Amino acid sequence: VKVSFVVNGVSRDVETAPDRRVIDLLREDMGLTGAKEACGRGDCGACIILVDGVTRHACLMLAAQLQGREIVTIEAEGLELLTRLQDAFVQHGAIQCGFCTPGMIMSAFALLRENPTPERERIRETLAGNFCRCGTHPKVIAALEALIMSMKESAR
Amino acid sequence: VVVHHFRAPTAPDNVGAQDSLRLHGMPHAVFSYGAHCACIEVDELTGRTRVDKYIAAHDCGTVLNPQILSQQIEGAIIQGIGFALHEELLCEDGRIMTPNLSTYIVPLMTDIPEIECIPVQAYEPSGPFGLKGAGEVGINGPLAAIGNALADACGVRLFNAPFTPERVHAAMKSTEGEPE
Repeated sequence: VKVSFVVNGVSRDVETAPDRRVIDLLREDMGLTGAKEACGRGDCGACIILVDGVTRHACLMLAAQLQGREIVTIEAEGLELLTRLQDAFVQHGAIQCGFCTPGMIMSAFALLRENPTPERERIRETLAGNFCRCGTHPKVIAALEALIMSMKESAR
Repeated sequence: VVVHHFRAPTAPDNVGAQDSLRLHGMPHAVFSYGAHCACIEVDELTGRTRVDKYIAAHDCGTVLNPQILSQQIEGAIIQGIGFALHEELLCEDGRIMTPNLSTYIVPLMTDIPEIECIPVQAYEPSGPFGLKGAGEVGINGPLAAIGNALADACGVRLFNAPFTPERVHAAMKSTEGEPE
């Protein structure tokens, strides 16, 4: 099938098999290997991308469902909040093996865009859909809270 | 820029038993020690256990990078909490019954307590810069700490990990009415 959509601000028209998933399209055809496939069944959140501003598991969507939509992946450039999130993760050591990190950052990005000053409980609930086997959770929370604090201060 | 060198200790050339027998290097004979403390909350109705606060102190020699150390220790504690409370590889007739992440439950963001880790920096003379390994030293503590906390809170001793709600509940039922 022919599918046209916008990925990280660039319009793309692709020809793909009807049974192909979004994660395969992104990783194999488009070289956007940031989103990871771990469980392949929507449990772990490593493949989370934004579709029209909402978090979606790229392993549970068919490529054809992207028709006319706008998607954002971890590779997106020029989004200030995303860059700051990435910097905060690096600074606070919120990454160990890094496999869950793109999904974590995309979930956090969606949360902070909707609500720039979430409570700790809200952060926890939002990121509960992202599994992390290394156990970086406390550092992720520390990174997000530091970022939220610095954004609050710069907004003053 | 700091330049330093470290020569790993070597075994003596002649170990005595046979002249042809020679040893190189040193076996890993350095142990890290730790003390773990878990504060848990048990739902008496359902047996569900959750960890509210966790404190761990480790003797890991000189700390070169505090951030990486706390990453390692926190990560190990979280894996240990999973081991103690949720993760169970069930097997039936040679088939794995918990083959995916919706049946084999790993700790999520919502299961993570506040974790405080305290490095006890004792100088280790055989290690470079006085350090010891501190890789997964934290993973051994949580099962025992949570088990002891359960015994303290509900008076039940469980000997099979993980301490699932079913097991905790059954153990609490079986001790009902007994004197402490």
